[in-house]
Amino acid sequence: MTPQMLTFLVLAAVAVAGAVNVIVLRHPIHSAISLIVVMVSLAGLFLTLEAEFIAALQIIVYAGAIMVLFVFVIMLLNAGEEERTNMSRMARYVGVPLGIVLLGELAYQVGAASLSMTAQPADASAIHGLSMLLFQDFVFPFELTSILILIALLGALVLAQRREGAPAKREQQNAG
Amino acid sequence: MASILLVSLIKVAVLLFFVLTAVAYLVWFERKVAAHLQGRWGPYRVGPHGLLQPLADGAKFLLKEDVTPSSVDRFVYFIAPLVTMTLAISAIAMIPFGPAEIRIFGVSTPLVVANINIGLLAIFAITSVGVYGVALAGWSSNSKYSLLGGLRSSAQMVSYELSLTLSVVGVLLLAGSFNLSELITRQGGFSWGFLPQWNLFSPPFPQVLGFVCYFISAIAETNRAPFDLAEAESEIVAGYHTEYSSFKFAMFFLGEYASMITVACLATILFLGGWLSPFPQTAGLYWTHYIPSAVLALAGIGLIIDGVLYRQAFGRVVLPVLGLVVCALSFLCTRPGVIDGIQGPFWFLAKILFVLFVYVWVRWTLPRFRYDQLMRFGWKFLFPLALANVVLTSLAVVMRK
Repeated sequence: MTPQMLTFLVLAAVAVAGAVNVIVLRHPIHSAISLIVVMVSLAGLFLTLEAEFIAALQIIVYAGAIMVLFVFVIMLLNAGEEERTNMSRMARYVGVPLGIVLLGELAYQVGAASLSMTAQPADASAIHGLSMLLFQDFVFPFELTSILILIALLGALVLAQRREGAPAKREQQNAG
Repeated sequence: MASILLVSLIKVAVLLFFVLTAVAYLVWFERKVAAHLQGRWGPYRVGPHGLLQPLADGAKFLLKEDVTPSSVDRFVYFIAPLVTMTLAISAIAMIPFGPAEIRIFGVSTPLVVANINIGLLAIFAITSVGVYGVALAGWSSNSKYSLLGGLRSSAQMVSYELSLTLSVVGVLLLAGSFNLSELITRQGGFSWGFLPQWNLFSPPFPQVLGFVCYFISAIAETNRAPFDLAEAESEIVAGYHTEYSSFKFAMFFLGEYASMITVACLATILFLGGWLSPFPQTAGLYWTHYIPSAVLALAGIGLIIDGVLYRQAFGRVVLPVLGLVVCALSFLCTRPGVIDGIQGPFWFLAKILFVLFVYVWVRWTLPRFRYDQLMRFGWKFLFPLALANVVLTSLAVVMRK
């Protein structure tokens, strides 16, 4: 077994175990930590493919920014443990079979495809190529996306802002 | 393959040893500077000039009872200090300490553990994950003070990470690389024959704004005064590490000081020319190569004189011996084979020490911010300033082309 294969297997096992943990664990913070573990091991998988830049971005954006907000919100709301429910009839008779079918199909397709796991030779200008694509060839969609995000941000601000003169909604706080 | 692995392991072990020692003595340094700033003596009892204080502290942390409060979330409570310390120390692996290559077992290797193309991004990735240590410690302790500290700190770190990252973009625009060694070598050269072209002074656009932004956000990012709201002792006891004791507390301590070192190293590399000497490397100025040994010799002589006059017998023995060792090192630094190799690490360490001194100085000079002031300052002043620096630098770069 080559070292590359070994690293891949370990990282893949950690990623899958983390992903299962996200669903199985009952406390939101534990699930969030598991999700961070998944992100980090995905970054490790990118590293084994010699995509250093993508790996760093994966950690900075997902583990470092998005998940911090998740954890922050969970802490702020002081969310307690989730309770396990019995599956609804819909989930039991439709969801489970469909899930199994999807899993089988994915396994079949991945098994049939001839994917090679060999790393492409590291390209020193990978960042250069990526930024040329992002800021030269596809600059219009890129800017459009950022404006879209800006609009969403402003919308959230407007919705969250209390109206001038409107009384604070006490009863909602008490209910929450 | 095996020898490369072995060399890497040796480098990691050596670096780990140096970093942990440096962290221990950084605590001593901080206490001494703080004391002298306030007209006190600082640590003085354990060893001459309190030099053995870090050892005593370490022993204390190891031997104290490790109290775990009854209703903590055990797993998270346990991993939070581990996360903080591991990440803070591993970021230092990316820092290059000198231009020279050393040979171990016939393998030539640079003075850096991980010389990767995206060194800067990797450090930012590691520090951005470092938030979890503090946040999870605050949450898992199941105490209101800890939770408040963790909340404050995660909001603060996310906010200041923006200006921290943006303040560096100017440097990247000038250099066009993420590799830390390359970032340093691009800063070689002198304007008008004497002013070093470090990014702080470099044409076409000196990164003074960037440096100011970087330094302020770095202080906030490492949760130190005047931005230490996560552990504001006058408001929330000790913030996120209120419920930690013994070695788990020591891990937070180690993490904080290790990340101070990382941040100081980055400031040196990005803005102050890293290992480059502040003097032009011309034949007429070759005497500047003797500055390291001159500094060491002066320090050694000072130690001997101070030691001979020391009050306690222990100090009268230890300090002169230490002084003699330093004098011998100074003599070694004038040898032909060593003198060129020592230049890079010497200037690098000197600049780091200077940055760390400013760091400590700031902590013991400025009062703590209020939380709303902190957020307003970060978002409405520092962030636009960093953004302006990016715009101005890119304009300057385009104009030069």
